[in-house]
Amino acid sequence: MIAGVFGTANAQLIDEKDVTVTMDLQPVLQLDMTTANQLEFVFDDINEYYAGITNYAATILKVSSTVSWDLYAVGRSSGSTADGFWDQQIDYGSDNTNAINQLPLSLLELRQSQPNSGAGVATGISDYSAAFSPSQSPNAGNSLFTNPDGSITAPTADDKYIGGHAGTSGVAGDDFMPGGSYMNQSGSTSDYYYAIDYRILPGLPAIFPNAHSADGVTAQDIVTTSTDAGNYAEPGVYTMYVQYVLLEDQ
Amino acid sequence: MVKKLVSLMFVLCCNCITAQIHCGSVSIVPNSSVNQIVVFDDTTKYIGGITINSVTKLRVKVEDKTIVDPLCSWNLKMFIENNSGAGTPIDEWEEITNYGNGAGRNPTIDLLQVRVRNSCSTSPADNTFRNFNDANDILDIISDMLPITNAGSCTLNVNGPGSYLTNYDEFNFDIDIRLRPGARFNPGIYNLNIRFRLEENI
Repeated sequence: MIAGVFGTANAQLIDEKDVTVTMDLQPVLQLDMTTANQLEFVFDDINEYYAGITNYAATILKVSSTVSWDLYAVGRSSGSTADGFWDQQIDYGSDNTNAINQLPLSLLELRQSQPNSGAGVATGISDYSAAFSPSQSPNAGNSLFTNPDGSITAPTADDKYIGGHAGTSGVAGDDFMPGGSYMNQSGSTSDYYYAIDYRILPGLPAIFPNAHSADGVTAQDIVTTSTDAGNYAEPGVYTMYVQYVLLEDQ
Repeated sequence: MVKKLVSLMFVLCCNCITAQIHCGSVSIVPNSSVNQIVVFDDTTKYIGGITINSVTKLRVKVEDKTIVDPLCSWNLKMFIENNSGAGTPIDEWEEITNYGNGAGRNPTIDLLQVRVRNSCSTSPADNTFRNFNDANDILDIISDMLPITNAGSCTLNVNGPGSYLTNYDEFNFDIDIRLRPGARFNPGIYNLNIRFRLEENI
C-alpha cells in the first residue's frame, strides 16, 4: 500500500515538444562605393600646376561587415611605362631629354573624411586623414600607398590604411575595425563611411613634390626618382587606378 | 508507538493529497520535433533581423479523469537547451561550426526572442517577444500554482481542462521567433533548442 501511494506521487502528467533553431551566420564583407568611373585632372592653366587640382568627395566608401575588417587603398597601373608608374597614353611630343614619362603612382594624394580609429599599432603615417598640405610645403601625409612592383599587396605597419591596420592582435582599436555597418550608425561621422578627396599637385616644374613612399620616409618626386635635378613630367595623358581593398582582419 | 503511527499515516496522507493525479491526460498535439534553419547572408538580415511567425503551434489537450477531479489544471513553460553538457558556455548557442578563425564571440542565448500568442491572449506574456539570458532560464506561458480558470472564458490564464478542438483560441499557442544578431558574433552555424513542457498542476 505504501508503494502504491509513492507510485502515485511520481505520476504527474507531462508532455513536451521541441523546436530546434539552427542559425547560419554567413560572413558578409561588403564595400559599397559611389564614384565616377573616371576622375580627370586636366592641367591647362599655370595656376593649376602651382596650386594643384582637388576633387572633393569624389568617392564615397561605405562598409558593412559582420567580421573584423581592414580597408586600404593601393595605387596601380598596367605597368606599360614601368611598374609603379602611371601609364602614359599619349605623348604630347616633347622630346626634351629632361621630360620623362615615369610619373610615380604615389603622386596622387588622398584625404579621408574620418580618421582611422583602428590603427593603434601603426608605426608610420596611419591613414589619409591629414589635411592636404599647402602647395609650397611638400608633405608625405596624403600620398597614396603603392607597392614598388605595382601589386595589390597590403600595406605594412609603416604604411597607410583607411580603416584598421596591419596585424592580427585581436585588440580592439589596434589593428582592425569591428564588424558593423554604415546603415545603423548615428551622428555626423562614422567609422563605416568615408568620403575620399583626391588631389594632384604637379608644382612647377612639374615634379610632383608630394609623392612619397607610403611610410613617408622616401621622397618619390620626379627629380628624386630619376636622380636628375633637371627632369620634369613629360606633357601627355596618363592613367592609373586606385584599388580599394576591404578584407577580413585575419 | 501509536503517536508515531499516526504521524506516519499523516505524512503518507499528505503525500497522497499533494501528489494526486488530477487530470486524465495532458498532451501537446502533435508533439513531434521541429527544426527551423535561419540563414543570415546579407547585411539587411543581420541588421533588421529575421522573424518567423508560427514556427510551430502548440495545441494543448487536457482531459479530466473518468471521475472528474475539480483540481485538474495545467501549466505550460519554455526551457532552453544549448548542449551545455558538451562544454557550451551557459549563455551561448551551441557551436556546430565556425566560418573563418572565430576570433570573436559566439552568439549569446539572449539573441533568440520568442513570442507566444493566441486569440484569447490567455498568456500574460501574450504577443510579447521575450528572451532567455542563459540555459537555466525558464519562461512561463501559463504559470503553475494559479487558481483554476475554466475553458470557455477566453480570458487570462485559462488552465482548466479543455482542448484545442473545442476551445481553439484558448488551447492553441502560436510560437514566433525573432533573431537579430547585428554584426557582433562569429560567423558560423549554431544550434539552440526550445523545449515546451506541458504539466498538470499538482
